[in-house]
Amino acid sequence: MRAIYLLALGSLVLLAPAAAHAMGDKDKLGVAQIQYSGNWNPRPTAARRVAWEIEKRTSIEAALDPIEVRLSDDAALKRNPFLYLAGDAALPTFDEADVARLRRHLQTGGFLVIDGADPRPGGGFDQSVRALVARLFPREPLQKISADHVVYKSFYLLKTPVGRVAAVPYLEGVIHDGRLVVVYSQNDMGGAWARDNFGQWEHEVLPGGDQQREMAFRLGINLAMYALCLDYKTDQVHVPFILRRRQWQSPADSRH
Amino acid sequence: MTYDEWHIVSLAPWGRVGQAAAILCACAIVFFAWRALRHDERASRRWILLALRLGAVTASLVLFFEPAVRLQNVTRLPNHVAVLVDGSESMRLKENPKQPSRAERAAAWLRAERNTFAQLGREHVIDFYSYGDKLEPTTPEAITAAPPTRGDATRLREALAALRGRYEGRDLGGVIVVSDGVDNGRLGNAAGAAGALDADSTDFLKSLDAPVHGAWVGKPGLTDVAIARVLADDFAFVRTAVTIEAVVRVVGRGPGWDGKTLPVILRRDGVPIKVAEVTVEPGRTEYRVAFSFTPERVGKYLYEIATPLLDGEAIAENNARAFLLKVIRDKIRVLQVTGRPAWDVRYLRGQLKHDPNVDLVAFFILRTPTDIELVPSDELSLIPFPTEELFQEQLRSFDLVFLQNFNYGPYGIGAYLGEIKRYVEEGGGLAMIGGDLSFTSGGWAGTPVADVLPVDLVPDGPPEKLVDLQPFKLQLTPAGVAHPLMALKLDVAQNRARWNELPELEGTNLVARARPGSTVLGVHPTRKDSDGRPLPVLTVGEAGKGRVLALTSDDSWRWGFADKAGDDRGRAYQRFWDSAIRWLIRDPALSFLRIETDQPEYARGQRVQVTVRALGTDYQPLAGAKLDVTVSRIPTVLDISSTARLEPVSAQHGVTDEDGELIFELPPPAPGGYRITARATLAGRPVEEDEVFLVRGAGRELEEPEARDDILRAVAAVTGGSMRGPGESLEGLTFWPPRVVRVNQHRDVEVWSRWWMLLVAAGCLGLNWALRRRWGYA
Repeated sequence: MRAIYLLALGSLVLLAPAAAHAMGDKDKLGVAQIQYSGNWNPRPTAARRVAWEIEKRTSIEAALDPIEVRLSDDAALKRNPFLYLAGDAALPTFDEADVARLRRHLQTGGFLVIDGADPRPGGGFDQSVRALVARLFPREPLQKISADHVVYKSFYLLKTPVGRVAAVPYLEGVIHDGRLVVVYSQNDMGGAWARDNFGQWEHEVLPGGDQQREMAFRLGINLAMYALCLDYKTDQVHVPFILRRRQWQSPADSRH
Repeated sequence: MTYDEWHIVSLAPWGRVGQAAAILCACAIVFFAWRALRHDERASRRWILLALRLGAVTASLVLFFEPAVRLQNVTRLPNHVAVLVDGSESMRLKENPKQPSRAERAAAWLRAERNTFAQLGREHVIDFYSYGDKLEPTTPEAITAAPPTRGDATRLREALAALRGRYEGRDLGGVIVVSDGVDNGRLGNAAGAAGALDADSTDFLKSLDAPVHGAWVGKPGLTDVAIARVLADDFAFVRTAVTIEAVVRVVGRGPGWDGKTLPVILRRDGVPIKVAEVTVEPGRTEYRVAFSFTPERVGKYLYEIATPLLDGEAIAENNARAFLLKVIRDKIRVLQVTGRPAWDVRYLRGQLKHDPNVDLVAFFILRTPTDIELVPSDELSLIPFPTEELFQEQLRSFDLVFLQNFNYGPYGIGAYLGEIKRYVEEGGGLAMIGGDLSFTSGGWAGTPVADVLPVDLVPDGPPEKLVDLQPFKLQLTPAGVAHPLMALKLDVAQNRARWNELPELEGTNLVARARPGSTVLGVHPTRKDSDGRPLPVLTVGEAGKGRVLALTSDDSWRWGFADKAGDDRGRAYQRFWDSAIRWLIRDPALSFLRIETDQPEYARGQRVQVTVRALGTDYQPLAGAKLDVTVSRIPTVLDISSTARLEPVSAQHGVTDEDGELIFELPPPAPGGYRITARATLAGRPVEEDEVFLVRGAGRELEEPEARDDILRAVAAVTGGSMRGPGESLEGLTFWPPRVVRVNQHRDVEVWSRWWMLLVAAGCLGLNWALRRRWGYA
């Protein structure tokens, strides 16, 4: 069998007969950050930076311009399936209509990433997130996302989710109808992603430094890939390749 | 008047209860007498008194029962002897073409035994029956004049069971079975190679309680090759290997048969698809051949296994054996290939993965050669893109291929585009879904794949000539409103309204025009194609045997995500793609024409009822639809290299009734396979559907046609009958004598009304009383 290996193609000259012409920004993956009363954007450059990394490292077409949505804006929600909710303090109590809109958004295919810039488990942000998720999905509580979940292998092979800090060695999430609809990180991913206009990283990443920052980007890319491909990487055809690479990767991972 | 029989009767009118009470009373009297005397040491006295008491009681009972001798003059009625003459198909066989058939020999035998039957008729009533697949009364004249040979099977046990039912409560003195011994009923199935019967058969035969004599008309010397059995299931799964076995039976040896290699061919609808070979070995009768093949298409097909006719063969009909095989789909195998992850990809994948009837194989391009590569490949989950395996080796294993916003150029697939075209033309389904990597933007213009698309692509050019980024609402065409693929609602008006509620699409690929013969279901509201017509957005068509869909937008996912209107929130997307998939794979449930026969298989001589149903675009019965229905025979072809040519046998032109049905009957067709094809023009489009049915020929009767006497011999042995060979006299066969008698006259001679009987009773009682007084008993 003569297989053309996608990875090998990286070194080849493109033979496409026509250049790709985007169908407009509306179909690109946009990271839409939820606005609320309070410090809704503790890492203002994070979303743009991770979108840039997604765009450059993968075939996903990502919208680089920041997108801000309010839960009361139904039209904006309908345009943006990928939502990003960040904060460094307790979230306000959203009214019931907003919660209902967000719930319907997630049930019909939306995806919500919650990123805690306040990395204290049990802190104000953490408590308010748990209260919000309990209102969104009373019967489907936040649960730890197991280490073998596809979100850890949707593009990069990851072992531990990290952000600016590595406070909690796991992600939490809500699985609805067999699909992860909410992912919650308490490790301040945005802190690791944030980069100012002069190209400087805005926050020090602890304890792993640049290697940990890279892992935080990989996690962000994996989340985007999961949002757009779901459990594609659990298809049987991928399993032998991933298993083999997991074995190869184990010693390297132990350095992080 | 003379009397020839006598027996004792009771004339007393007391009935059974009274008689029982009298006997009990008598026993009690004797018992108490013995009890009173048992301690008496004077044995002689004791026994005298007991004897007198017993004598008195006995005499009293005689007086009570009033016995008499009944003298009778009787006539014994003749019982029945059943003669069962085998009327099955095997009886028409001739072991030698110049000699009479088995049935003719049986008729001659019965004629020759006329005197024997006349002699038997003095004590028995002779009833004649023919049997094969059923028992039927007949007459000796009918049998000897034109012996029946139309039975599709020989079932002796079933015939004997029917015979037992007929003679329930009547006197059956015995049975004579005239047969070649071939049995394919329960006896034949239960009998071993040497005719040994199982316990159940033996018990049944004994329960007949009558001797069964065998009169065997068989002869050795039959030479024949038969497809004796075909071992096949009724259904198979599409694209899953099927193995069908056949047993070739070679009986006797014609000139030069030993060592000869016989081709055995498997045909589907008359077209040869596989050939196996059998080499005739001396002394060997059965040969097993196996055919393995993979059905490529769903449907019902007529398969036939045949072998050529050899010199000297007695029977030609059993050289071929047909059967129906329904090829069904286990799961719909879908290949989804996409150029990049996107919401449209994610929604379609979600739809396909959620459908338990879909077996999805997906390949998404997650990284292109232009993307930055910062890490070793080992830290990525990317896998090779097995292009050759997908687009050449395994392509035909898929029912449907989605090319979703996918450009083939960078991945070396250009060499396989011709394969994709052939895959469609041979019956595969293809859907091309829009995006900046699709249609002309994806470099598909001028490729073999473009040849099968239902739209003509525009030539490559600047972006504004290839895509339009303005949002628009899909406008359904009149054909689209009524098309099953677009049926979000059953009611046409509600369906149109529902589509109007769906969210806008955010841009479209530009195409030149809809291809002639394709059906445009949805168009752009403002943009025009190259011919000035509304720009096709959703178009379907057929290419060869396959179906193709072109959706020039990558935004149908919004019908699932952003659709909050209507009473089926968010389900419009699911319904649309579910219908699209079923339409693309030609799901029979979406057909507007349906054909049914009242049975899938018919015995020879049965009428065939055909029902053709027409459905409207709303899938309700369509009255008044004009139908053309042809029925063609798929003839058996023994020539190894020939393809059967369909022979039209019936043509019906009619209009469906108010139930949307056209029903007609075919006179009993000749054995063979038949294909019904119905054609109509519904909603302006030609529609065609077909169905097959099978008319069985000789059934199992000619599978193992050689005569055998072992079963008849075993039956005779179990029932106490005897066996006669060909031409032997039937004289001396034994039957039960008649057991039913008729009483012509009788006379009762009373034995109780005698004076001495009264004297005995009185004497015993008196003497007993006197002796008891004298000997001092109380």
